[in-house]
Amino acid sequence: MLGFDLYRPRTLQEALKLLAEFKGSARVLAGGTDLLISLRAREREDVKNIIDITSLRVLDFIQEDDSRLRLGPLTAHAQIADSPHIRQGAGLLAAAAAAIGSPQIRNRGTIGGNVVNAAVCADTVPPLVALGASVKLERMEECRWLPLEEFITGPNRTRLEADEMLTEIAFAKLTATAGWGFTRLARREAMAIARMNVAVVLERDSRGRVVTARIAPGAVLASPARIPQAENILLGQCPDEALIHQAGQAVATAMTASGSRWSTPYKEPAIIALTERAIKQALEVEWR
Amino acid sequence: MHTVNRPVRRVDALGKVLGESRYGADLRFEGMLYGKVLRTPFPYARILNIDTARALALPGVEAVLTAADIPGLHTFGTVIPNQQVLAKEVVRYHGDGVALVAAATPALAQQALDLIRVQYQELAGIFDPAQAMAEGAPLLHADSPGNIAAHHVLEKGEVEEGFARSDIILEREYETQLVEHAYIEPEVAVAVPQAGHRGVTVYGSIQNPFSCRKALSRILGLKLNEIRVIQSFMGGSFGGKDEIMSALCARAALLALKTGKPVQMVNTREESIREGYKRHPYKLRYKVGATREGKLMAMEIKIIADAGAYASQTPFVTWRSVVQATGPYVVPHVRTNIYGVYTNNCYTGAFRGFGSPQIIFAQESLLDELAEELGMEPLELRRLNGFRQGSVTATGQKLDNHQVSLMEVLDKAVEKSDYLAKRRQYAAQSGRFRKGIGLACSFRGCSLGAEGVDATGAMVSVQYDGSVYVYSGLAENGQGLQTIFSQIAAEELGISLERVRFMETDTALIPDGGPTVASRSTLMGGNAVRLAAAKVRETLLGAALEKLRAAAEELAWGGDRIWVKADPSRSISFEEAVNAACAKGELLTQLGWYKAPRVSWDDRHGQGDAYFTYVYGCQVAEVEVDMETGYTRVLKITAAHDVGRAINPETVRGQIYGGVAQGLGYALLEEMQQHEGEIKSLNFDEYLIPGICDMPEIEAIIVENPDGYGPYGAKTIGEPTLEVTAPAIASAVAQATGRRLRQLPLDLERVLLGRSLQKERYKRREGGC
Amino acid sequence: MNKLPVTLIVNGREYKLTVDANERLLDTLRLQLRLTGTKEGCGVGECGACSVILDGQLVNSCMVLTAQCDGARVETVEGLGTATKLHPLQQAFIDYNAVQCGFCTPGMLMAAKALLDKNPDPSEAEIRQGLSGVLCRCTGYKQIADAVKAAAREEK
Repeated sequence: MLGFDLYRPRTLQEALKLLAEFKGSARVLAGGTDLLISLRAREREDVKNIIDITSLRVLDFIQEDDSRLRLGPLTAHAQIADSPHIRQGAGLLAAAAAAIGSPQIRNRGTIGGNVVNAAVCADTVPPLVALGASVKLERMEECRWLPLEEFITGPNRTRLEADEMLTEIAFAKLTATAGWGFTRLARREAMAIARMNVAVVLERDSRGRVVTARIAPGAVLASPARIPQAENILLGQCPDEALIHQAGQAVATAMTASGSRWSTPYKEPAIIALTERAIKQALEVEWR
Repeated sequence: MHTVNRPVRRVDALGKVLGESRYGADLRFEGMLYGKVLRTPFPYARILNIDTARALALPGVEAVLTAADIPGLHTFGTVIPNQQVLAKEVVRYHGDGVALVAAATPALAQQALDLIRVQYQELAGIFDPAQAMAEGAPLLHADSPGNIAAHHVLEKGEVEEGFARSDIILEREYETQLVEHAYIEPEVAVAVPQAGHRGVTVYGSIQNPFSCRKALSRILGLKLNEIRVIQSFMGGSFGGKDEIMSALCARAALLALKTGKPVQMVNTREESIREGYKRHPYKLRYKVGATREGKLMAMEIKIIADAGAYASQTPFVTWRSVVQATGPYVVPHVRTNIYGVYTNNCYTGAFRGFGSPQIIFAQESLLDELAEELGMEPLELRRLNGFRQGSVTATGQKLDNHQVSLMEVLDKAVEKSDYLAKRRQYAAQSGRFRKGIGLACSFRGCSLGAEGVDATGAMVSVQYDGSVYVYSGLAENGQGLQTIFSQIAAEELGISLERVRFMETDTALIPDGGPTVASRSTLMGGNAVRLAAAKVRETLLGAALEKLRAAAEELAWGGDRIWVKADPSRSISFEEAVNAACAKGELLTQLGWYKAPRVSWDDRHGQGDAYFTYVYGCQVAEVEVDMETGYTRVLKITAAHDVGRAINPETVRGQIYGGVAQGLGYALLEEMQQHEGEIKSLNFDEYLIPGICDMPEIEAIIVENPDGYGPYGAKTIGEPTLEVTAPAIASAVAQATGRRLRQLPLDLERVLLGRSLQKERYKRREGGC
Repeated sequence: MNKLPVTLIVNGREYKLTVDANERLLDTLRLQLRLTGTKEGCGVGECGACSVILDGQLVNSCMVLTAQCDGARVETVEGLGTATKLHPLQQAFIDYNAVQCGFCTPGMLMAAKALLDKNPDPSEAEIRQGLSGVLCRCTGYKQIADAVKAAAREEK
């Protein structure tokens, strides 16, 4: 483990002040499930100061108002998976959080950490993108909001400035008529990072026509995004097997358009299936 | 029998559930230093210079050593001693160590490693065994022409004639992968200089204390009696804590002797995986000939095993392969050639199965493919050709001295799993999720066979209060040996298990009884314990006879008492018998020494009685395949194994469940990524072993046909449980998907696409998940 | 690197310690407090051998800094039971042959305890989920799952 100085600010202001002071040499420590691993691997020699925010309980909240859900970045995956508010208002996020790692990881790992770490396979990111989430970034006496898709710019890259901290994630709750799907593929049942995942939100009118479609795959593009080409296939339609398949293919096309890697011959057919299944889940039709 | 053949509780469980059992990393000695080894960044390079000055100058660093500081030889090895404890002139693989540090804290030791400067001249490595064997390839070991570490031949009958008389001939190639033991405890050694005289005591996660002592003697230039190796509790081994532990113990001892202080060395997981040997990847070419009716006529087999940088157990691993390569089937004409080949890859050695998982995958897949060509049910092909009483193996051995129970295990597994009905049911499926069922069989030679000397010892020592010590040259690695040996001692002495205490294996207290390998403990060590206890019993009997004034045949033993059969009221307690014997000055401590029955081997033709007895196993796997992602779930494994006699049915079941789990990992998940000699999957985030949610229902069927040689008829269980799982799963996947995969593991990519993508993985730029 | 004062309550006993900033809870337990029942298998939160219960939550102690735990309650295997008064889980692990090499055992026991603390009557699937963060290479997990089931019955 690399050596560093550890700070335990008692207020958010104190934490932001430390960040401002240390410029780029500090990192914020939340659950530690990513940062401590990279420090142990001696990968982050630039990090001289660690600001532990785990005792800042003001960053640990799940709040619901009429239309929105607001999450503190310290909310652990286990809390998200178990929260009645999230299960009801953002079921796909609860499903994604429940699929992460193990009880140990879910107890410790936080949604803020998952978002800031910005791994391409992060399980909570596609649901958040499909939910249209924005992130609140605070620095001393200043704050800004960014849509999540803009915040994450690439694998493990974000727009977070050295003196900024993620302090809230917010999104509109799903309406009672919205359907959602979350599918995930990994090499084993538990404790396995996602090879790929797909989050889908669909709303239909009384005649079954899709009026809202949000499809966000994970570990497919360099940075998270919805796939409008896939969504457009469903919009205005009553999706049948063929249409759902086309939407899946559109996701695969978007993936291959972003570049080809060793795994592409596998991921291409597999992402079609995962997308189809997520759409079927959202439509509440049998997908097996 | 009052203790044997019963599911008694493990004698070592209490300390383990309390967290009190001391593993190597839990040990601490006064003034103990922490050792670390610097490893080469290159898989193949010449060492030009090592500058240790800056490391030595670091306060808190007490020693920095290189190969030049080794008092004895810098190499060791059981068969061909060419493995380097520290590389002298050349590093041959990415795990080779080049320098050692001992410091006051682990962090300081790490810091010191960073200050050592080594100049290398990188050499062009060989990473493909075929290239290593090619004419003109540079030699990685000067004394091994063609880079051949081992070559075994087997010739039975007239292969060409066998093929000529065949109606159908199939040729197939199979491939197995590099596999990590993945015991949960990384390696640890603690070396303590002996006070008052020359010598060192070593503790740690040492599978084979005597092999370790031998290596240390060679490296340290000490006599065997100057080295004492004491096994700590072991956090799993599976064959994996042998040579790597010899190296680690030797390094700790070098540092301890240099500094005069105790030195502990603990590998991180990454170090463990980088340096530790693995299961050999095999490339196997099988040609089989059969009649239209399905009678096997001939097999020609060529196998190339990647030995990696050092010989390790490659000569023995490949020897087991050559003996068993045709499986438990009668094949009149056989020609097998197997080569173990040096490369600059991570070296390969002993791992549960020991040359059997690879060949069984090939041979069982081949039989399935042949059955399909013949339009036969795979089960029928096996019944038609499988060993029966008196069958003759590929090595010309007639199987008539034990119960040949292949058909029995096959029938039981088939019946319990409802194989036939399910096989029919799954024959025609459509849809996204498809099921399949498959089976695989094996026979396995017990213990070392004609590998070499096969004998072992145990000591049973009855104290004057009636309590008992058991010492053994074989070691507890987690498998339950302590419990089994304690049960045998208690059974033989007619006493309760609570009286018996098993002492950790200590090279100073018991003769060298060879290694704890080859599933030989119960069979060999169990016999030694039984012999020792029987000798003590004989003495006690003498004392009891006088007390009870009866003849030996009139007495009965059990439940801590000895009594006259005709009149149970005339009895004495075990303590009374012990007291009587002690009062007469009798010796109640005895050594039991068991030598394996005769085996034979003709090296030139690969013929002989390779092992003195065999076990038989059959597993049936049921799977469900996601046809759109390749994800395979195993639904059930039915495992039938003949163990001769189960000394402890619960620990036998534990071996079956655990072996199946490792076999499932071998089948579906595990493949150590290695690119040009560099191990890529350095921790459990990259190298996935089965977790609890991956495990299916397992039905364990214990078949008991007591063996004439085994203690109470007991034979072997550790390895057979693992070796048949992967081929059974592969067979089930083939039924589900309609496509036979000839490479392990059956990962997502192979199952979906029918080919491997992993090889392309490191050719292109890395990125993403 | 700075040092920080930390108060820990481990198995009901309070410890006032000074720790390096980068010291892991695992190292504090094993090296400072000599509670070596908690094991290190991978250091990256994959094997779960280092699992302990921190303020009621199951965590990998290799992925928690001790300095983060000021004032926290920690439960380790040493606090579970004693030789004369075993915890029902410990007794069940012995009775059901759930122990082989024993290296994963402390982590398994703590994971099982955390599970039963929250869910005294878990289904087979819930047991497996609850233990899914601890790897075992010896047992194939069956006898472990059986033991947890039995302990849950026992505790009821």
